[in-house]
Amino acid sequence: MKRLLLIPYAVVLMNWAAITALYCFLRRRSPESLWRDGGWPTGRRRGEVAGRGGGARELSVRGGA
Amino acid sequence: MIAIEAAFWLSLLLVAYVYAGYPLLLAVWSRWRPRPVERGGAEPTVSLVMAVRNERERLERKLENCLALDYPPEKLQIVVSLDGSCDGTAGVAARYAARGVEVVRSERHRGKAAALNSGVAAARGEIVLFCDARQRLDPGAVRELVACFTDPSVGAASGELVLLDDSGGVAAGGVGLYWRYEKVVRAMESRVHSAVGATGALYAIRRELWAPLPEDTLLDDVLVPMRIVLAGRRTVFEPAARAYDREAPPELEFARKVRTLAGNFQLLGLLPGLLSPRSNPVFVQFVSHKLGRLAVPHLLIVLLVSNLFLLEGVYLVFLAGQCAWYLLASAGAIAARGGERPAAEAPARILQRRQRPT
Repeated sequence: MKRLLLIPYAVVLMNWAAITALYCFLRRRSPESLWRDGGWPTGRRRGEVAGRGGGARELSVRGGA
Repeated sequence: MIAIEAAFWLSLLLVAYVYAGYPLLLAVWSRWRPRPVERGGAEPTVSLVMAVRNERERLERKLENCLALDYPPEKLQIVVSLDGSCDGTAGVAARYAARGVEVVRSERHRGKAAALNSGVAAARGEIVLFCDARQRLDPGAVRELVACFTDPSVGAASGELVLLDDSGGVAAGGVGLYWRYEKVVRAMESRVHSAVGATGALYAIRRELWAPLPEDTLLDDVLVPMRIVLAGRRTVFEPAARAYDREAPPELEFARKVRTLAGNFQLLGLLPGLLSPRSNPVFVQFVSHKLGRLAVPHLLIVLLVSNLFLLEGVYLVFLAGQCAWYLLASAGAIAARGGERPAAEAPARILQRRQRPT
C-alpha cells in the first residue's frame, strides 16, 4: 500500500522538480545553489549566484535560450 | 468558455501523449521498423574513466569492483580523474597506482565535466567507458557494453542502472517504478534508432567521437550521446550491461531530478540542432521524451486551473480524479516519512534542505 502511495508522490515530486529546474534556468542559477544557501526563494538579483566563493557556479546557457 | 475547454482538452491530450501515447507509439514503431544492434565478441581496448571528487569512503570499493570486471586486464585502462578532492580520496586512488590505476589530478574543483575532459585526455582505449564512484558494476558490464560497438553505426552505448531497495531486491515502488518505466521507454527508443541520453552510471563511446565538454555542463550523459546522434551515429541501450545503486529517498531523487531537468534546458542552448528535424534524427523522440517531460508540470497546472472553471458533467469527474491524485500524492508524502510531519510541509522542507545533494 505504501509503495502504491509513493507512485503519485514521486510523479508529483518529479513534476515539481521540472518547475524548479525552469526557475534555475531562467534565473541562471546552478541547481546546487538552491540547497547550498538554504533558502527558497532568496530574492537575489538576476544572475547573482548563491554560495559564490563556496564553489557554486552559475548555470551558464550557451547559444541563447 | 470555449477557450477554457480547449485549454483543458489540449493539456489533457498532451499529458496523456507524453506518459502513455508516446510509449505506445514507440511500442508500435519498434515492432514495425526495429533496428537491431549487431553484437560481436571482439575485445577492443577500453578506458574506464571515472570523475571523482570527495569519495574516500566509496572509491576503494569501486576500484576493487573495476579491477574485478570480466575483461582482459591488459585491454582495460582505469583512469581516475580527481576533481579537487580534499577528503583523502587522492590517497585512496594513489594506493591503486601499483595495480595499474592511473590517476589524473586537478588541485582545484572544476566540476565533473572538466574532470571528464582531463580523464579522457589520458585515455588510450578505442572505447571510453564512463562511470561514477557510487554505483557497483556487474562483472560482465564492460563486455556487454563493448559488444554493441561491433555495429559500426553505434557511436555510444548506455548500460542499465538497476535501483535496489533496502532488502537488496529491485526497487518496485515510487522512484523505482518511475525509473523502470523510464528504462522501458529508453529500450524502445534504442530499438527504433537511439535512446535520448545515456545512464551516467555506465555508458561508453568510441573515443574518436569524443569532444571536450564545456566545463559547466550539467548533463554529460545526455550531451555526449546527443552529440554523437547529431553526428549520425546511434546511441543504444544495452540492458545486459548493469550498474547497481540504492533507491534514494524521494527528496534526494528530487534534487537529482532538478539537476537533470535544468541540464535539459542547458542542453537546448548547447545543441540547438536538437530542435531541428533536419539535423536531429531522433527529433520526434527528443521532443516527446525530453521536451514533453519539461512541459508536463505546466500542462498539469493548466489542466487543474481550467478544470476549476468547468464544474459540470464529465468535467466534475475529471476534477474529482485530479483531487484524488493529489490527495494520494500527499498521503504518499506522509507515508515516505513515516507520517511524522504533514505532507503540506514537504515542498518547503525539500527546498530548504541545507545539505548538498549527492
